[in-house]
Amino acid sequence: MEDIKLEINQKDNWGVISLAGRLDRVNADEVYASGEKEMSSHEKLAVELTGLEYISSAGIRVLLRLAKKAKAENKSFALCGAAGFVKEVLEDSNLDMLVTMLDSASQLS
Amino acid sequence: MVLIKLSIKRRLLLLMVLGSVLSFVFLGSPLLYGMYGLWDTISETREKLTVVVTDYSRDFAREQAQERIVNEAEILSQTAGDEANNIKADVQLLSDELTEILQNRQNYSPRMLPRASDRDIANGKPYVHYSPALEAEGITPAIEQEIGIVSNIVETMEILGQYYVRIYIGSQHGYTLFLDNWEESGDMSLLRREQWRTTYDARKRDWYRLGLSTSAPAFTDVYNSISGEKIFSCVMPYYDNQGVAGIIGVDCLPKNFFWQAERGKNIDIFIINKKGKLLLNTMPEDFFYIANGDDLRKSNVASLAYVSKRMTQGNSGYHKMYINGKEYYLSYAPIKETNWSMGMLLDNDQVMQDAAVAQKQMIELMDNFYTAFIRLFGLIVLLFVFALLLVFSIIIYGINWAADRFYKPIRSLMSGAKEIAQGNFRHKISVQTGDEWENLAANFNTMTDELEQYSREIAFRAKEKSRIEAELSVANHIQSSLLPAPLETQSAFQLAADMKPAREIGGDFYDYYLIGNNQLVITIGDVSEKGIPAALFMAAAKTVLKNYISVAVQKNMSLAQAVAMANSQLTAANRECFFVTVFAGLLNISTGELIYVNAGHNQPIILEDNHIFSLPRQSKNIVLGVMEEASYEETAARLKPGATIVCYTDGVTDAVNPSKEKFSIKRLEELLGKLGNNTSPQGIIEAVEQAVLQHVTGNGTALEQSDDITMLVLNLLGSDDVEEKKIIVPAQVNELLRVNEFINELFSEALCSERAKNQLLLVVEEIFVNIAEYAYKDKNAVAVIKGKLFGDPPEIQLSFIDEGIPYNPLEKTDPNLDVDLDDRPIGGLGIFLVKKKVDDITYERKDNKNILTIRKKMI
Repeated sequence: MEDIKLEINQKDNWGVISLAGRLDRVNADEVYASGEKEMSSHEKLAVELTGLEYISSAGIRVLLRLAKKAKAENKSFALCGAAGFVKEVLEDSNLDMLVTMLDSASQLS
Repeated sequence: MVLIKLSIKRRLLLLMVLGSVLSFVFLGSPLLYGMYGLWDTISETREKLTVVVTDYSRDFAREQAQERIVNEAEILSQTAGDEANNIKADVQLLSDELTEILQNRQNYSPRMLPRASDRDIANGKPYVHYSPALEAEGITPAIEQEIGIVSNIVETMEILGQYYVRIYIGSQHGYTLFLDNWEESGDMSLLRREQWRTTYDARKRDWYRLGLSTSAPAFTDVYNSISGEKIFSCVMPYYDNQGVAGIIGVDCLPKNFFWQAERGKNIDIFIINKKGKLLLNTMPEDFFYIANGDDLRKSNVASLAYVSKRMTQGNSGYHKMYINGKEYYLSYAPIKETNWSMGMLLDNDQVMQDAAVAQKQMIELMDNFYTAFIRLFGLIVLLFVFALLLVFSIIIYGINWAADRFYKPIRSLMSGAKEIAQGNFRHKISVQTGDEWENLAANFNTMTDELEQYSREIAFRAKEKSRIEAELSVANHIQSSLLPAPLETQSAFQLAADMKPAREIGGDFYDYYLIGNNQLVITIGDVSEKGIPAALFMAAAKTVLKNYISVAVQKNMSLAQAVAMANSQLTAANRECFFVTVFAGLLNISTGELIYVNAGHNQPIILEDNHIFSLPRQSKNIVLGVMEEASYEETAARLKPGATIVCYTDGVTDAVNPSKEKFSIKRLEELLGKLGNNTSPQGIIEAVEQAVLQHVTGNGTALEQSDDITMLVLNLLGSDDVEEKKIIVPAQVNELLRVNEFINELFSEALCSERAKNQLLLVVEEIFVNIAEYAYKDKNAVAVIKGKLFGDPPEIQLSFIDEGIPYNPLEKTDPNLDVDLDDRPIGGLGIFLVKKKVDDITYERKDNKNILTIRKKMI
């Protein structure tokens, strides 16, 4: 797991997973597992993407699954700080229309 | 001694001029002499002629004048006769009226007139005068009464009185009724005057005696009246019932007869009676001193006596006479109603005045005539000299012409010899004089004919050759000057073109030009005919195509539209009915997309991945220049990287060898197949040209190249020209890291953005993962990834090859992204994203392999 760094923080009552590096098919399952785990302990889950450089369809799938799960469990889910290539792929996938997108984690409430 | 050298022509000329000058001198001088003689004669006779003519005219005028004076005399006497007639009528009237009164006394009452003895009576008033005898006898009541009755005449007396000096009625009884109008003798009536009042008795007067002797009005001669003036009287008796009762008379002045004499003319008039007595005259006092007594007939002057005699005889006429040494004309005519005759005396000067005027006028006329004659003569001489000069110039001209004519054969021979000396053997000498000159000219012509025979063919050939050469050089120049200059070296393609013009120029052309950085236009064409006109049409076609295509590309119009517009313009201006076959291609350098329009041209050949094919025909497209409204279709093809397109004209395929075999497409394709697309465009052209040349020359019997050989070859630099890198990895997801390393290595040298890099990595991951997860299921297998980076801007080409189950990911439908989160599938996004991020993606199933190739510009 060299390519991705995963950091979990607490902000207000949000659980925030900060991703940095590259999110691809190789580490996607691992990232999903961390997210699932975090969601179980929080009513609100945010994925912070500021440090993320790369995302593939596998990464999109991770975020989509988390969003679906949050919705199914009636929990809040948000994406923060997507930029550059990551934001481009999110938009290509139309994910920005399905999930709350914030410019940064400080906007969480 | 100086010898003057003259040409034959000049000598002839001189001789003839000399001759004609001499002729002129001989012919012209008598004529001039004759004219001079005429002039001289006229001058001499002038004086004489003038005298004769003027004398004649003077005599004529004199005759006229003499006739005229007779007429004048007759007119004057006629007038005088009329006057006499009037006087007589007046006297008759008075007599008749008085007779009527006296014979019917009872009809009239007596009237009282003043009496001369009683008181003064003014002029112009009628009055009564008693003669001394009557006074002495005493006036009886009968006489008294008669006077009263007679007095009834006074109104008539008063009326007529104004025309006469006086009117008087003298009674046999001794009284007189008097009306006195003579103002010059004083205011007092005549018989009131002292000397007459007591002495006057009418019955004693001469006129009374004359009256008694006549029964009709009669004139007295001219006499001195009692008041002294010269008068004449007209008298006649009047009657009562017993006979003559008295005499009535009127006194007239002689001037009454002359009053109509012409004024301003000094005409002297005289009247004589039957006895030759001069009654009255206007002559000078002493004129008639010559008269011998009272009878002019007895005049000492014989001519006067003669004329007087004729006058008393009642003749009329004229007579010329000399009186006192002076010449006179005497004209005369009788006065009717009297026994008188009137004479009219004119002096010679007056008669001849008109003649003198006529003579003077005639002299003037003669002078005028001479002046006019001199002028006319001068004019004639001038005209003559002019005519002489004119004739002389005509003769000189004629001489010149004649000399020319004589000289012409010599000149013809001279110039002919000159012409031939200059090499003009076609020159013929035309001499038709029928003499030795003509024979000489004929010999000359025969000689030149032979010379010409030899030279004509040589000359003709040389001329023909130079004409063709000139035309060829012009056409060559047009053609070669229009070919485009080589492009700068390009990183994305190589291009070469060449034209080997035939000896007689065809209308081949090629063209290429970049539009922007990414579009290359190539055209090749062939005009139907040969020669300069075809070359010009070719130039037009090339230019028009370039213009329309350039505009079309910039304005996003289609290539087909551009070709259609070019065709329309070319057709409109195509008078010679040329046509041109054209292949035009628009190449997107980066994608290799080639849009082309082929209007009846040889189909270009594509060399790609070691196989050869011709670009499909576009059968609807017809050649340019034929149908103005023609529309064109275009076709898009994609050239793979490394592909080579070979455009050529029929000069290549139709080149024939001595056995009439064409080089043909077959031979061309074989050759190109051998060369392969690793041969550079320049190499291909050289090889083809050499092959064609070899084909044409065949066994060494050289044939002339019959048409232009034109080629344009383009090689798209692609993957094949760059060393391909390859990785073979197990088709497992965790091999992705190695794959990424391979990719990073591939474009490590290229300057490209992080974003492009990530996009490419995304593409590679999605495809590789796809293969790893789906191609083989559980089977352990490998995936091959070949890749290369080329061009500028850098472009990457990657091929993913697996031996898995046949699967074309491009056939997979894109996921529906416009749905709710709940309905949104979590997968199926990979290939969708790949398609979005690459410039080109192709799938091929070959040799039981799935080959997915992508191309992406790294920008």
